[in-house]
This record gives sequence, C-alpha cells and structure tokens, in this order.
Amino acid sequence: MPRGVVGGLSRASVVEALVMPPAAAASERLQSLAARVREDVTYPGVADIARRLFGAGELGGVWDARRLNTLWQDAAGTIPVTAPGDPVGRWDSLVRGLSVATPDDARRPLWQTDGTAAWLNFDGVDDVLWTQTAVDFSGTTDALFGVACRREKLGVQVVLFQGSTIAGTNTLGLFSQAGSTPPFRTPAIGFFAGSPSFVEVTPERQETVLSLLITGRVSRPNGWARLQRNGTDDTPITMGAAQPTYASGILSIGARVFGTTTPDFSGLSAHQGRIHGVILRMAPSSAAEQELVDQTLRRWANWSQVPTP
Amino acid sequence: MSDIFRTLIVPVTTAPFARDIAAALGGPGGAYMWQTPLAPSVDGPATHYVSSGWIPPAWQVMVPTQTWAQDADGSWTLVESTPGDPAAVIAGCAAAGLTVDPLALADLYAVADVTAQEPWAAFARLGLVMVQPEIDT
Repeated sequence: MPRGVVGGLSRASVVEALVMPPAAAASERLQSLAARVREDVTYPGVADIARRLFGAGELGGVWDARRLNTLWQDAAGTIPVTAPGDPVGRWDSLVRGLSVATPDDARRPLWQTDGTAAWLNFDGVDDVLWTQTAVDFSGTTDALFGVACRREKLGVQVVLFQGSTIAGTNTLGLFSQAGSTPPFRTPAIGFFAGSPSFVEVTPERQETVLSLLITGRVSRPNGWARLQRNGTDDTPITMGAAQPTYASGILSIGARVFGTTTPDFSGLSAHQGRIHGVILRMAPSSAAEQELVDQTLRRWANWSQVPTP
Repeated sequence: MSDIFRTLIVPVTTAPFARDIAAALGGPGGAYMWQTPLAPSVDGPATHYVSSGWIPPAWQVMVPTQTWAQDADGSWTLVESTPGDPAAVIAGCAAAGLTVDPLALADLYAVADVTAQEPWAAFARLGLVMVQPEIDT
C-alpha cells in the first residue's frame, strides 16, 4: 500500500490510481486466479491436504487466500469478497470449519491478487482476524504449522498466535520477525516458559521487505522442534524438559490477540504485509508432512523457487 | 455506499469514551477500536491510540475530519476540516442505550485526529510511533 499520502488526496483516489487495476484488468486477474485454483486438483491440492493431514480428525485449519469462496467482507459472512482491494472481515478455513474474523471493520486486511497468487494485505497497525470463540487445543501436545507471507516492516510481528499471555506456558506463536532491535530473529516460534523459552531460525535478517515461507513442527512431549525458513532447515531445537499441552483460547492470524474468551489487543504486534496462506495441524507430524505443507504454501504463493528478499 | 478509509487517532484519556460510542453506534466491533498504542517513542508510555482501515461510510458524516497538505519544507498545513455531526452521534447512542454528555463529546471531537491519510503518514505528522511490545524472553 502506498505510504506518505498527504492530506488533500483521498486514499480511495490514490488506491485507484496506483494499486487498483482498471476493471477489465481486475476481471482478467480474477479469471486467471480462478483457473489456477481449478488446476489445483492435483498434488498438492486441498483435497490431498484434507486427506493426508486431517483425515483422522486432527484439529487445525487451512486458510488459502486464493479461494474467494472462503473470504467475506463482513464478520457474519454475508458479503463476499469479489474484487482486489476488498476488505476481508472473515476468512474461512477449508477444513474443520474454523473461521477467523473481525467485527471491527477498521481491522480488516485487504484482499489482493496478481492473477496467479492471492494474499491478504495486513496494515501492520491494527489489522487482525481471530476466532470469535475459543478453540480448544488443550488435548494436543504437537503442532505442524506453516505460513507463506511477505513482511514489509521491521519490528516484532506475529502471523499466527494462540495464548492467554505473551509468556503463557501453553502459547502457540509464529512470528515473521521476533525482535525489534538487531540481531533480529526471523522467523521464530514461541514456546515460552520452557527451555529454551524462545526458538528462532536464522537470526540477523534485517531486510525490511522479506518473503518468508515458514514451516515448523513442535513436539512438546519429546522436547523438540523443527523449523524451516524458505525451505532451509534450522538446527534441530531441543526444548529440554517436557512441555505442557496447548490450550483453549482465541486463535488469531495477522497479529497477536490474547485471551481465552474475550479478545485482548494489548500485545498486538501486527504483521505488515502479505499473508498468502496458513496451515495449522495440531497433531504429531512427520518430516514428509512438513514438506507437504511447504510445497502447498509454495504453490499458493506462486513461489516456484525459494523466495528471495 | 462503499466503505471509506480513515485513520482515527485519539488521546489515551479519551479512548474509553470513544470506544463506548463506537460500540453503541457500530456494534460489538466498535469496542475493539483504538487499541494500538502510540507515543513519541517506541518505548512508550502510550499517549494516543489509533484505528486505521475501511469503515462504514456513515462515519464520514458523524465524526470530524481533517485534510492536511505538506509543504515543500515538510511542514503540515490544515487545508480543510469538517465538524462531524454530534447531534447524530448523541441520538444514535441514545437509541442504543448510551447517554452521551455533549460537552464530553465536544472535547473528544476537539482532540480527535481523523484523516484519510495512511497511518504512517498521520503518525509522522503527529510525531508519534507505535509502541513496540517486546517479546524477548
């Protein structure tokens, strides 16, 4: 989104001039995107994801920004997203019926597409979507997760979160940047109150704009985590003592919303930039399943090669 | 009508009042507005809260708005402002069961910074940055 817009120019006019394509071009992009989604019946299609990762009733969610039938302008899900630039008030998961939404209109990210990929553009100020009721992960000890995103600012930024506090022992956190001062830690996941209390991949990445394909597996009982950034393995992480289970609480995408039932925005740390898709599976997972998540997100973001900053 | 883009910044002291009004007029989501803290430095403490995004067009007439132009030397000049419609806000809140003190509303209108600027431009104009919560543990 353009920055530095001065008074006297409405944002709408700036968006129309600089970002929004002419109607015909927008229509062409939408048709191109729809064709690409239709092609997605082959590996690693969503049906494959649903069968291989969630076929045994595993908890979690799959959010694909290319699928307009999962995107709504309002939290109630009555006004569909139909064109680039539309605000997104609700994003439905392709599995398990899990939706994230915001009843606060000002917090809605904007949907965009280039005709092959699509994404939600978060403003880095207050945009966030969250489950309107608690999601119960209290019976789970393991997680497999991934996100394809593009970070467009420096500073602490959260792309996926569930937890009652910053340092809650049950916290599930995925950061597109985890430090506000050098050496930055990008990306990172939080265990908190464990040993180590915080886990990172590839510190000292200081690019403001950075495309990130982050995947990770966490096994709390076994005390380890495996993270990848843009397809590169991190050193296996040993957590030390066995950790507790995950928890029941609000799950948020695009920023950090604390809370078990009532949302608390005091630690927002909003992600600025794109989120193409998110996959979360709360179950013990293999390296092959992590690779499936990597390949799926890579396709959704149209990254045939490892993205570079 | 299509939604409109606004960056709305209010001082910390008025934020709870502004949230109550927004919740009364706009439903439960209004209570979640003005939660992102701003201050002269990233370390805080917060002096203002911001909400920024696409909001229903009815807000355009109800709240005061300002239009700023930046000179070549970087200074900002207020080139246009609209007063908002406090009577409509008071009536709308009353219909939702919230009694609004007209003087308190006038005070809020006097300090509210509401523009069509991108949030980062508005922050820079006001000399504010987002307070950055640390998560280093």
